Amino acid sequence: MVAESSAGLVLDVEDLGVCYLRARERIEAVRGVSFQVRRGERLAVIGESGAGKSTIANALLGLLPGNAVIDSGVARFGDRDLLAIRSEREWNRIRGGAIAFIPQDPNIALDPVKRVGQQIDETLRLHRRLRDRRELRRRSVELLGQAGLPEAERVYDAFPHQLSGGQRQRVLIAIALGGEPELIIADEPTSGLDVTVQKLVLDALDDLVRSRGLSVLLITHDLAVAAQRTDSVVVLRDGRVVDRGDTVEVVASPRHSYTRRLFEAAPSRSARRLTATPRPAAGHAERDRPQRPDAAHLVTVTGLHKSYVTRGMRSGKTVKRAVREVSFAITEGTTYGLVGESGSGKSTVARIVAGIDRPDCGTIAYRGRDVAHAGRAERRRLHRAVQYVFQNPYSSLDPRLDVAEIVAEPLHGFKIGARGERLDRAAEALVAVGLDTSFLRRKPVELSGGQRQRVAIARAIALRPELIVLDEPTSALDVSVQAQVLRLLVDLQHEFGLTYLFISHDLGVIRLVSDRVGVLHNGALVEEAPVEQIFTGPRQDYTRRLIDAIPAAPRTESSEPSAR
Amino acid sequence: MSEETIVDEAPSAYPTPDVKPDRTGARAGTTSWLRRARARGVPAQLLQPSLVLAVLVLVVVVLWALFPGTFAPHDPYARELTDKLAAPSPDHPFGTDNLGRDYLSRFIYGSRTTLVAALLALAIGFTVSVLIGLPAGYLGGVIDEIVGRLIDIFLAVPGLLISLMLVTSIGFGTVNIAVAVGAGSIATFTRVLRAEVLRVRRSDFVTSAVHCGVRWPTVLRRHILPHAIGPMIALAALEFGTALLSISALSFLGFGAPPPTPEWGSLVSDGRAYLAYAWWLTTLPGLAIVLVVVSANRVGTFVERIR
Repeated sequence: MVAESSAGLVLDVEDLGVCYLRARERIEAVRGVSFQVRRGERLAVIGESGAGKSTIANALLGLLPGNAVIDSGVARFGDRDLLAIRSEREWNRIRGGAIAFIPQDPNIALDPVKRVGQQIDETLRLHRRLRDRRELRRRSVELLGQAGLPEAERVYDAFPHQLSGGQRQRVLIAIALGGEPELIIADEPTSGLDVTVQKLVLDALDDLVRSRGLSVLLITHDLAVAAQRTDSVVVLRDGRVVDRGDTVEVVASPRHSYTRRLFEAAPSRSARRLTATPRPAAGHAERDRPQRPDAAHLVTVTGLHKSYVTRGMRSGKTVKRAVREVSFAITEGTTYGLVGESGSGKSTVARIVAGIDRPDCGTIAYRGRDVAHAGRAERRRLHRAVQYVFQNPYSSLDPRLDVAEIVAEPLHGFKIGARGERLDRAAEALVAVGLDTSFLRRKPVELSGGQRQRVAIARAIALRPELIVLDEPTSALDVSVQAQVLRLLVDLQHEFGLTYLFISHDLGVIRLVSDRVGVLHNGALVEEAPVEQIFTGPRQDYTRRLIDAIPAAPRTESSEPSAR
Repeated sequence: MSEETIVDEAPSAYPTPDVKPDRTGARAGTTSWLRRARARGVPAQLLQPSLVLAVLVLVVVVLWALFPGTFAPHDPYARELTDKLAAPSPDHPFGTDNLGRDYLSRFIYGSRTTLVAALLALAIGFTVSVLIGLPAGYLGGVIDEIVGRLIDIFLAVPGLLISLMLVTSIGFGTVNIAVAVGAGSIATFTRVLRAEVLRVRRSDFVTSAVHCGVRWPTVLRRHILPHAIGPMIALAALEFGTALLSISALSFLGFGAPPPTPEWGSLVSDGRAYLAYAWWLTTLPGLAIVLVVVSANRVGTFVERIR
């Protein structure tokens, strides 16, 4: 990073305060936030959900919703105060021009009925007053190239649905560049993308910062992205700045305890498998954790195939082969981690192993008995022994039931115990996941994401199953909550002797909990080995790419002390 | 002394700190009772004048239906031959018919039969569609195909026509037109419910319940119906006005209760013969029906919006 004098200030935010009016309440979202962005600087605003990150971005873009009130603050951009702008017309000159915005979800940010090229032309027309069609095309294609898209000509003529998520996000970058911005505000620009694609998009953004001297305000919850891709960082918690400074310094020696907890919670490349918390009063037999060679295979999956058929209006019948020839085995009492990117078929495998879906062909032997083609009674028995934890705890709990009813549902479904006994067992399961019995009468809306996922786990263990299929159980949670839930899972495994099939897109998370890892790519299992072997000697290029995508422990990165 | 205490207590009677006196004063256009209600903390969306008016109309009509004797100024069957075909007057606000019966009293007594018939029609449409749409949407397959096509066929024909065909085959009478109108609305209800069930069925919590061994009738009752019922209730509120109108129409056509029992539709119909020199016999009941139906729709759209 080139050192800049204080004259190179692009954005200077001072004492920003925003609150939302809801019903009769004033909800403070952001309070007393100050920061500066210099020319060529990449500033990360990090924090967990609800910390006020997006509120800051929206305030700086004049995009706050109607019930938001700016209480205080000045945001100097050039010679004007952004927070004082009242007319939409003036905003329209700035937004997309000197300040560009890259939104979070590339799948909804592009107009689906317009070709990509037209959408870039629009910016050039509005902010650069270009009219000539051929000139517009030339400039737009150039922008697409600068945004890191190969085959820019083809992309120019494509509709958004013909592009992948990563390509769309780079189209949005191209649109942002169209107005020749001085500052780009990017709100979680890569959170919907797979790690390998995320790398491409961020590389493109970095190149632009370097070649054009742009400044970037990066809003993210992803500490790894913040640590590797930015020069300085502001840590938000409950709308206030708790830590700030040079990224390298903050990451290496966080001053505030919250920042330290945040970074410790994030899985990194140097992490090791979690072991159960030692509990002195545990009356359970000690189990030696690393697989015993004589331990039996609980589940053996052989030659799994699954295709989905969709009938389109114009395209006719299309067959998508979700899973091809997948075979693996899970040893009793261990965790099998299945890693892959979106569309790799990992959820399909999870649902088949759990017995929710049936495979087209292949067998799933549970304790040696094939259950894939079993009858109703047999499958019902399987469901008792195999439980499933969904990715999204906001949709997997019926909002109308209370926690007691939710946790007791499998007991109810399998007609286990009398009414009072079910309640006792539900309470027991709730205590096992670290929630006290006062939660029994609460409804899901009253719970946080982490508490909801604990309730979902309690529901899964209420039946005392042997295998629990965990489908991305922490990807909807904040990092600190994720760390707690992962620890809980490891403790429960130890306590009840559970076997896990753990699905994740994040190899870093997989490493924390798994004994053996399978890597899925385009529906096929490309590599399969004990967890340490995957990390020390990956045989496939694809596996190596996934490993590279995990954030390295930041302090090991070669980094000269900042020029400032 | 006592005056002073009242003045002192006045602010505490409206314990809403954020409604400041100057802001209330700014809403100069609103009447004082609306302002008072607002100050008491009644949600603003409940206080739209048109909605308040609509609710008022419905409350009056329901009271008429419940206690017609209390509200009717005259006996609806008493003939006053000296006073036949009298124009509206303070004594006979809707005038009198060719037999000298007070038309307002007949309208008030008629509200009972008409409202009961409309509610019965709604109950039939609602219940049958739950019995059909819920399993069809959930189980899918052939059952759903059949139900879906049947809905399409019934929706292609106007509901009133279906009711008309039914009532001519099952016979006349208030209950019969209620059944016919109810049957005519089944398709509308089922279509909405089925769509809702298809949406809820895909939820993770439903998959989870099935995986937890819960049998499908329980899944329907416990997880799907409570989440799918909301739009149904909003639709029922809207359909109430339509049902009133259909029942009045069938009764106007003479399929309802035999004379002298008053029904809204037959009242309009009875006055038709005297349209040339006693306009009030058709116009006033007709306008009253329109007012009630519009009020029911107003409340219905409100229910749909707040859902």
